[in-house]
Amino acid sequence: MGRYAVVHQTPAGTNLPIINVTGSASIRCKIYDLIIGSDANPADVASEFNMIRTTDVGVGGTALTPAPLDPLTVAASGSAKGGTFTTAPTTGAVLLMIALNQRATFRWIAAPGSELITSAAANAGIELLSVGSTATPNINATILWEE
Amino acid sequence: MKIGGYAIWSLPDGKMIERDTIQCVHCGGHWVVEPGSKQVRGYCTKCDGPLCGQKHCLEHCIPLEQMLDMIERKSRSDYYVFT
Repeated sequence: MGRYAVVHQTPAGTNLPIINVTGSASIRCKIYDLIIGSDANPADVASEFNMIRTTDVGVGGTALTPAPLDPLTVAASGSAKGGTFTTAPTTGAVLLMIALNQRATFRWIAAPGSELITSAAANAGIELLSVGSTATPNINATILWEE
Repeated sequence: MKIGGYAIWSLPDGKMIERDTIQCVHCGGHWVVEPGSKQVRGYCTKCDGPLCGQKHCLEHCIPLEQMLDMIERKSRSDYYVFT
């Protein structure tokens, strides 16, 4: 069991996945920390983000390397991909909805035992999705999980 | 009610908006607590916990752990309803 972080940056837009975290057939990833911000020039851009279940990994995207928070931890069994995807992962239930102005930064921390949990099924995961945005600023996101 | 998480918006003027989030005992989703939002939520007396208000959470008592098991085993033909 260990704790891992992935970071990624990609433009916001309409139904654009930012980061998709997937477990494996034997691993559930428990997402307990999420940070969303933007390094683009400050502007009043209204965006909506969702943490949402996914049932496949989509096509394309950038493979991200989960970084162990403790250097002595073994490599993560879970995996992550960042946008932009050629075909976005198939989405399911919304687990967290976030409205955010580009000038602001958002952080969400789960209470112990209340994490967002991926199912231990092949390619099932949870993604940070840019649902809609009035422009396409660069979005910087960090997701921390335990497995 | 048990607090499921904590959300923080850091605004450019240096101010911060801080809100608790509560977790649905059926789907595992969180929502930001906004008193007076008029959002209709629910409560499951079997699970003894809050519900997010989504239709499938209100109509079916399938605890989060059971739902994850269902996805993992794919034992139900209608499991996509809950994913």
